Amino acid sequence: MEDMYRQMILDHARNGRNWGLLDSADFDHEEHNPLCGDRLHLTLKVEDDVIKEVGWDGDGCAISQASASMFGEQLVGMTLDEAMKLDKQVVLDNIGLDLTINRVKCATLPLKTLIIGTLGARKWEDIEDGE
Amino acid sequence: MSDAVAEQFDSVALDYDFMASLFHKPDFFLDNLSKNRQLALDIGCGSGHLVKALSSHYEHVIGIDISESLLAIANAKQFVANITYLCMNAEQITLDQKFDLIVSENTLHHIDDVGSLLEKLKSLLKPEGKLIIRDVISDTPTPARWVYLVGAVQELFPNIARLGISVAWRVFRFRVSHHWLNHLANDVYLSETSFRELYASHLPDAYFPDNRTVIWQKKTTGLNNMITNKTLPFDVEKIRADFPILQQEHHEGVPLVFLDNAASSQKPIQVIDAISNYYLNYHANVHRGIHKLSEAATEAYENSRKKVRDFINAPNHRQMIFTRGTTESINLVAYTWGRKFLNEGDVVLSTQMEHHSNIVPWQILAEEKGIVVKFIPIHADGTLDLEAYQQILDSNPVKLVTVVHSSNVLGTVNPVKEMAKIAHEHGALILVDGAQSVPHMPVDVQDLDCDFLAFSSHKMAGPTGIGILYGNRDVLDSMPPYQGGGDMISRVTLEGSTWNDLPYKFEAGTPSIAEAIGLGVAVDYLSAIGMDKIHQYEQMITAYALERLEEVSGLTLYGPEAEKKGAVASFTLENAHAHDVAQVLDSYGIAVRAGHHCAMPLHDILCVTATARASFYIYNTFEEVDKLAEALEKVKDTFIL
Repeated sequence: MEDMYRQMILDHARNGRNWGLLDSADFDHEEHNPLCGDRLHLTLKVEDDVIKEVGWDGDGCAISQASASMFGEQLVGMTLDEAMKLDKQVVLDNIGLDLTINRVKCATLPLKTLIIGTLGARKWEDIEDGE
Repeated sequence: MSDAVAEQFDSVALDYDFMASLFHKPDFFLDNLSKNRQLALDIGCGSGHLVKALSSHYEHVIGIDISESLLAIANAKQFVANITYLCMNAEQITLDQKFDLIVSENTLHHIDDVGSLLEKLKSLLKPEGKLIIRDVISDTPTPARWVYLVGAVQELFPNIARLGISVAWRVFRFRVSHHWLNHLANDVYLSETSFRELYASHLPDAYFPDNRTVIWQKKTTGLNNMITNKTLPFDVEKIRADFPILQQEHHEGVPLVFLDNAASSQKPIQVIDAISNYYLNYHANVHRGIHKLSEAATEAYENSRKKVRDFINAPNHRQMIFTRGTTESINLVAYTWGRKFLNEGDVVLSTQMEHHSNIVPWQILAEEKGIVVKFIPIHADGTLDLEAYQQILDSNPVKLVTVVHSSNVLGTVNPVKEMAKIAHEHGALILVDGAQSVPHMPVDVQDLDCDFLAFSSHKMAGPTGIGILYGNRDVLDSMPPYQGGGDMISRVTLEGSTWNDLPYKFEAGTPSIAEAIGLGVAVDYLSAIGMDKIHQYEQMITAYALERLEEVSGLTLYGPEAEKKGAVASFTLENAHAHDVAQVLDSYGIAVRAGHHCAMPLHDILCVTATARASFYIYNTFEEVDKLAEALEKVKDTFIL
């Protein structure tokens, strides 16, 4: 089972879906993981509140890049409201591995970028703390 | 009382002994013995009639008298193994022992300064010890010589038949002899009223069973009763067993009595083990490594933060910033919040009882930014003048009230909850210095509604080098970072940097990981006992300590009464500098602090250069308080001649 996840993570990390920033995006925000320097730049096109297109780039470990790729796929078709209500468990489930405390921050970087870019840092702190 | 008195006694010694044997009735004393029967003392024992009567009830009896001739008679009469006679002037008593019973019969009218003698005798008593004084009185205060002359004439005739002629003659000769009248020349007998007045003023709660007798018992405090009834909130011996340092001898054969807890407390084995376990088994840097050791260290480090959060009921662990201690916590606020938000003319309001760490950072800021530092004055009893507090707030642009929760010298516990409310009504923030409160009582930041709380680990059974700054989350968010470096950044470029989120924004560099873990275990340890119970116990031991210290004559205590204060007793001893007091106490194994305790302005207000301070914690016992009080008596002997 874990092997299957590993394969999937490596695939996403090497071949990031929706890679590349969008021109004239409705949402454009970049965040970092201060622990290891991972970077994620996320752009979205939103029409009638629905996320039509996702584009991102960044650098970092396999977990953070794979997480961004999988998260990006998920976002397409969601309303922005729905996206902003996502829990960190969603991205952790994408990765599917039992992550340690420092690696959780790698996996959650895409969600963090979306939340801080829309709702602000305090909201992200609350989500990260599970409160 | 002088050598001349001794000579006069010597000259009438035989007559005196005869008279005493004739009239002495020990029944009153034997009916009023002390509860414990180890050691008794007779002041002015003469030829030893009362001492002998007491010797069959006490393990040991000491009799002192100024006359060597009288003591020679006492010794010659009969040798009793458990009696010691000492030639000693009652006004210059030097005895190391503590007594269960001190008696004095027909002696104290020779003493010029009865008050001083009584203070001395009180200090020689064990708790629950008894003092019984009987003396000659007359209807009005009268020169003794006249009392005797009149008495002799009155007594001689009615009593001839009963006593026999030879006895009556000796009585008469004794009462009117030249030597005896000389001896009485300076004596004055008190009237019943003046007798009562004199003794009642020096022996509060004394009992007068008849017109010439006073009985006083060293208070059996409510505390003592609590001890004997075993209603202490927790088992102190069990706690002591957790502290390895308390098992050691301070000097050879002298156990350690550690009463310097306000400076820094000792550490239980659980904390010591947690620190060594970290270094032995999972040391690595936190927040960075992906490897197992770093993960384990990070988890333990962050877990401690959450434990301390729960300990002070902070809403969120992000509001808990690890610092080096209280001092750094306060400096952090001064350097970041203060620099950003305070402008020339703004007032920071502190108090006259602050530790230097809550004065100097603001003075530095005053020099740098032109802010004004004001101080809430204190009342004579060591409590804050809250009216002045209100007035200062009303008439000044106060931006921050920064106040100690519990004074490290006076022990005063300030009403910070009420003060926070008033500060907020005036638009000011409030910083609470919890260095002496968080270790000793339940502290709830949400209940106090303070904006900052600063405290140190090492005063609460945790390691040195770590402490906490708790802050209001919005205020912390608005503050710039304290120090720059690793861990506190989000992203660094050569053009500029962005800051990490709370609490890491304020934790630059590799933190004190082992210490943070140790603090978490200390918090566990204290919580397992219960902060309510710790507070209750410390109130009891402090009340007891204040009571015992008050009994030491020449000792001045500073600060309010026990209910209003933390586990601190600061004092000075007449004629002995605090450093000397501490030095002598150390030789008895007792560790106290001496000096200005980093509160020089407060000592200026108290008009003393230094105080000695005994401060208590969960492992201190009532017996240790007794040892302190007893050792202080010995300090007095060293310095007061």
